[in-house]
Amino acid sequence: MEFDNAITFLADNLKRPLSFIPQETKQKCEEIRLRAGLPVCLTIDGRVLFVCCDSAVCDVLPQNPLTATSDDINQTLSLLCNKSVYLHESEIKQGFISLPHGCRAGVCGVFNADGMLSLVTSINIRIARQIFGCARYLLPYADSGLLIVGPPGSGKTTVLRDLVRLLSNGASGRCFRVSVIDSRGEISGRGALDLGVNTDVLYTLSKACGTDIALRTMFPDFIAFDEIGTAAELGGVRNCFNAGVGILTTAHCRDNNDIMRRDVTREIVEIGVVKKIALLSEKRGVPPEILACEELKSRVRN
Amino acid sequence: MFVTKLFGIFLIVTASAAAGFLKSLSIKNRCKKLSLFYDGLGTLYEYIEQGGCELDIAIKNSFLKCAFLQHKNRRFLILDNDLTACDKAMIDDFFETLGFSAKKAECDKINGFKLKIKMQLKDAEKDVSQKSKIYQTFGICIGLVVGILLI
Repeated sequence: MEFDNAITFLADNLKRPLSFIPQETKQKCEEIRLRAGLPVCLTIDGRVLFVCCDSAVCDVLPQNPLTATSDDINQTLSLLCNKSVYLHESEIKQGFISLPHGCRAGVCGVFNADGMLSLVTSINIRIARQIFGCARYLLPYADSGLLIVGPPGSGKTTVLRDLVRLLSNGASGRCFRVSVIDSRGEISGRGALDLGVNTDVLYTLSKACGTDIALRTMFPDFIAFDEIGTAAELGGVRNCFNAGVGILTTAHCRDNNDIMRRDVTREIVEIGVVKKIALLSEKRGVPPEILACEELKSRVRN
Repeated sequence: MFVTKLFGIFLIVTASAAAGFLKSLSIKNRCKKLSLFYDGLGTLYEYIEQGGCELDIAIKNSFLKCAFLQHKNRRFLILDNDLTACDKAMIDDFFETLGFSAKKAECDKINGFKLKIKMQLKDAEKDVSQKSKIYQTFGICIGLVVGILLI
C-alpha cells in the first residue's frame, strides 16, 4: 500500500515495472533510489536491490536493469512537486521534498548560487510506515522524555510517531498533550498519519523555532521532533527542559559510544534532558536497548 | 418571379454583410480575450510570488474570466476560434514550461510572457482599428456587387 502510494510520484517509464515487483518486496521496501542514467535501486533491510525490466528483483546488478533516464528524473521531480517546483523551493534548497503520507524524497544534483537545484541527478524516495504498537515497550521510559537513537533506516521516525500516538491516546494511563514539530512532514504525513487525539502539529522549517512556538502557545506535556542535530535545536531542547516539558526526539547513532562522541547527543545526556535513551537496532524485530543516561555519564567520567 | 429574385439578392447581401460583421467581431473578441488573458497573467504572477497554492489551482483562479481556457487531465486546453493559431501556440507553450523552476524564475517567465502577450494585444488592437471597419464594409460591398451582378 505504502509502496504503491510512493510509486505514483514516479515517471511513467518506471512506475509500470515497479508496480509489478513481488508483493513481499513492496511490503519491506524502505527506499526507492533513482539516479540519472543508472539502474533503479530499492533498499530493503538496509540492503541494496536492483529491479530488472521484467520487474524481477535481485541483489546483484542484472543484465537488463530498469534504468532511470534524465527525462525520468525530471518527470519524477515534476510529479513530486505536483508541477509546482516553486512551492517546494525552501525544501529543495535543503535537499528534500515532503510528500503526502509521510514519505520524503531526497533530491541531489547541481545546486546554483541561489542554493536552488538547477539539475537533478538523483532522487531517493523514503517510504514512511505506520507500525501501530511498535513503541509500546518504550512507554515506561518516556515519562520524562526519551531520546531514540539508531543507525539510518532503523525505524527511529516510525517509533517516535507511534510513541507520540500512544502518549497522546493515553496508552500509559493518562492522555498527554503532545506538540509535534514536523519540519519535513515525515512524522504526521501532513495529516495523513495517526498521531493520536491529543496531538498538535507545527509545520515549521526550523525545529528550534518550532519548539519555542509550541512552548509559548500550546502548553504541552511533551514536545516531539525528528533528528536533533544543531546547536539551535539543542537550545530549544534546553528551553523545554527548563519549562518542565518532556522531549521526545531522535538522533543518528550506531552504538552507545556514538552517543557520547556526538556533540548534540552528549550534551543531551550531560544536561540530563532525558533520563533514558532507546538504542534501536538495524535488524528488524530486535528489541531496543534501553540505556540510562547516568550510566553513560559515569562511563565517560571513568 | 421578381419578388423571389429580390429576396434572393437580399439574402446574399445579408449573408455577405453578416460574414463581414462576424469577422470584424472575431477580431474584436481576440483583442478582448488577449486583454483578459493579460490581466490573468498579473494575477498568476501574484499567486506564484506569494507561493500560496499549487500551479493548477493558481492558473484556474487567475484565469476565471477566460472561459476559453479549459482544464482537462492536468492540461489547459484553449477552446476558441477567435484567437489565432499563433496565440494558441504561444499560450500552450507557456503553460507547458510553467512549474518546473524556482519562484524567481517562474515570475521572470510570467513577466517575459506578459511582454509577448502585450505585443500580440497591440497587434490585435491595431487589427481592430484598421481591419474591423474594412471587413464590415467589405462584407456589405461584396454582397451588393454579387446582388447587382445577379440582377
